[in-house]
Amino acid sequence: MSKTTRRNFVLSVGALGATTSVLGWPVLGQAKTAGGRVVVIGGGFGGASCARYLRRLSSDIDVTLVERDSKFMTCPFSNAVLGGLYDMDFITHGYEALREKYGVKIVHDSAVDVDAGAKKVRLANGSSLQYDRLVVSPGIDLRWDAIEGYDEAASAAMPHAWKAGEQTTTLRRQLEAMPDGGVVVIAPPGNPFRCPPGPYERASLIAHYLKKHKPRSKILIFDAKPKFSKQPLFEQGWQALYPGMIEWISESEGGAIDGVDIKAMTVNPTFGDPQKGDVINVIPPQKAGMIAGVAGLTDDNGWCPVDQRTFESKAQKDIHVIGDAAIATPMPKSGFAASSQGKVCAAAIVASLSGQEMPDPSYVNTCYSLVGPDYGISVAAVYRLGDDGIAAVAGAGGVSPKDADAEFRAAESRYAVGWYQSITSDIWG
Amino acid sequence: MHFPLLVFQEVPWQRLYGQTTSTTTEVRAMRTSIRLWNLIILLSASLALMPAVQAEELSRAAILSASCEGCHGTGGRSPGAIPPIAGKSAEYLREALESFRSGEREATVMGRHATGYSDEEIRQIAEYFSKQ
Repeated sequence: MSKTTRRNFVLSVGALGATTSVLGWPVLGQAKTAGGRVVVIGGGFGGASCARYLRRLSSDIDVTLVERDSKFMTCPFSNAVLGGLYDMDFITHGYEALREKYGVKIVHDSAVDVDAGAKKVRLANGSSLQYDRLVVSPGIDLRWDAIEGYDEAASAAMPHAWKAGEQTTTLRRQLEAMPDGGVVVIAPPGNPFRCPPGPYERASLIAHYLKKHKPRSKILIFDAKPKFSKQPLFEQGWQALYPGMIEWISESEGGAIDGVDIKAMTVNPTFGDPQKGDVINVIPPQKAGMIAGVAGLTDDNGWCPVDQRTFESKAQKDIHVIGDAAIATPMPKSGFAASSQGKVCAAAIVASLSGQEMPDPSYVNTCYSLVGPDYGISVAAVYRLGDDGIAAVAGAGGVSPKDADAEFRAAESRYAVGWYQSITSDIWG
Repeated sequence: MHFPLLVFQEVPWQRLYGQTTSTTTEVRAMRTSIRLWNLIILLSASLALMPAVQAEELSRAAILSASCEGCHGTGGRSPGAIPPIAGKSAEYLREALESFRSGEREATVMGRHATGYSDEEIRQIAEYFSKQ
């Protein structure tokens, strides 16, 4: 009896999506509203946060989120999928809560063009969306012309897995198929790129998998950089958990690669001999997602200059750019930073559309990395707007202590999972 | 999309009320009352969801606190291992943040965050989450 009642109740609540229009709450379509119309392109950490916080801060604003995919798979914790700690379901999120709880209109399509003069976004299906303010949060595109031989077709043989989804699954399968004693090559790009600690967390969690199942294997990191994020902490963790398994080759030691050969399964360093790998993970240089370039928002380097108070583009009026695509230095290109920027941008747009003064912005970043399932490390920073743009608050932030004990590392590994559950529920839940 | 009342007509009301035999009049009366009851549930469910759509004030406190929500969850309602902070007293939250900032209270990451905020900002954040 109670089961039936519960089911009945769930059905009632499930019907709310349709009910909202029946009862006169958010309706589909693009009626001009008193609060103004905001279109958000991209339903990742930046765009989905911005859409949600726009609706939290103003029930009058009509918010439409344009996202190509019906489900979003996060890059955070995709390394844990590669390491066999979680499956793809754990990192997959939908847009139902944004639609049903927050009244965000969701359009699953690709934005193909922006007419900044007429304030219109054209979609792949041929229709257009009119906006008063546009938020562009397209994440990254990979530079397929940066490494000789590494184009989109080559990524089937040598996955980048720097956008979570099929690429993550491909890399995981290759690791599973690799014989014991095999060599995994990871080739991270120079700065700036998405998720600075990501390649090193990846090496860690692949090492966790290999140590358990293929202990004679090796991981070589061919790096285009002279140093990397949380380096002393990662190296300490590798020594503690996977001694002798991970070797990092810096730029000056011949780590930078300028070509690959997918037939020979080699990466070609700028100097020194080609390196053969059984599994090769090339993380190529990046730029702002395609629509940012089409809309004329990018600079010569492919990223988007913005007013760091409001995230309004310096190139186009009434268009804001957030997340990895935006130049928000010293904030890193991280999911947390994108979400933080999405919230500040939402506040700026609500203030502007409602004629209120925008309160002083405050931004934050917190990035956990798992070196092993029970070994977490973190970096944090609090940011304010200074005379020259965003600046980290002196005396705050920093990385986990170098001399922490096993209990501290274990606590941070639990908080890493807790962080993931919180931020994904704060965005998609 | 389904019109919600169509969904309600499929409710197995006999099982719901543990009753399998009734007179026709009783059945009609009960069906009517069940539909009304469902409508009430629907409306109260809708109203329960309303606060999420109802806007919050655009304030400095809201902007500062949005930073905390990334780890502590929307409104401080953490679903996982990070301690929830929604509805704790402003006094408790202020003291916690101040002792993280001074280093008096040990933490993994909170010391690194709390040192980024002034007394007044801590007061506003504490006030914000105490009302969630």
